[in-house]
Amino acid sequence: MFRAGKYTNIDDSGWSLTVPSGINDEGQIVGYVSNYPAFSGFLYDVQAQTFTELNYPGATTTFANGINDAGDIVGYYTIEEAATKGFELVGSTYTEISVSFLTQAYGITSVGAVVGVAEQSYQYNFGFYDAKSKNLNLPAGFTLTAVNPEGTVLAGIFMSRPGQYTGWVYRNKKYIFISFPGSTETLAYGINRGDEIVGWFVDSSDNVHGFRWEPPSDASPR
Amino acid sequence: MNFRAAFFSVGVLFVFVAAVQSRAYAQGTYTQIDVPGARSTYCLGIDTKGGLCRVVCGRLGR
Repeated sequence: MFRAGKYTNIDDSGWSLTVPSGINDEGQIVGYVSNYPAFSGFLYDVQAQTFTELNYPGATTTFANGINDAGDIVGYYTIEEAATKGFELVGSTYTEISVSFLTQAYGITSVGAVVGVAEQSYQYNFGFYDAKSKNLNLPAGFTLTAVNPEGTVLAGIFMSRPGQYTGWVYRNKKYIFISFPGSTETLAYGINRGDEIVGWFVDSSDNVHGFRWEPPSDASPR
Repeated sequence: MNFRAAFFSVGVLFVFVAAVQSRAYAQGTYTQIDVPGARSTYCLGIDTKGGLCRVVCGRLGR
């Protein structure tokens, strides 16, 4: 975790891989851990420094991707390499989100609206709320990876051709592309209440770096 | 609260069908983040609390 120029290690020592995927304003971090080939989700509380493993009941693998300020968590799970399904975890209760054969939930707003990616014969981006789902009809090549807490700004990845990626953000009813200066590829994965974006980029020497993008201070209100 | 109101209070959900008219690149400020000692850094989440944002990142290599 990076804040004000300082790095804090949140690895849990029992795992060979720890990937934090989301954080809320209460200092709760979700992500996934692995001792290959098993994957489990996790919830880490920065204040209490507690690490809780998350496993969808009966699942082979569980990935936690997003958390809102109420502590509601979304992600996806697999069972025996069969279908991949999304889930929402509220308190201690898991609820399946099954939009199609392959469903992955990536973000959740303050009121519990979920966004993610689904695949049937083609991949599309969905919104899910109150047990109803909707195809968000993003333009071709756009994959949604994040939603802000208010549900008014989205971010993700645009694939212009196989293997060629650019980040994007949708705010003020416009798409703008996020490309770290001098990068060959930029991918956007997280967004906060201030519309700041994080992700990673590949430089001209094929090295991978994280980044944070802050919108211009004179940006019009959304 | 209905689906639309819950989801996108400004109606974002229903304007995605609009095509991307031109490839406009973002103004604003970019900051590079490298976890010390890591070969690669991947940032996936950011909070808002307190004005000094916390960014969570994964890493490869040490």
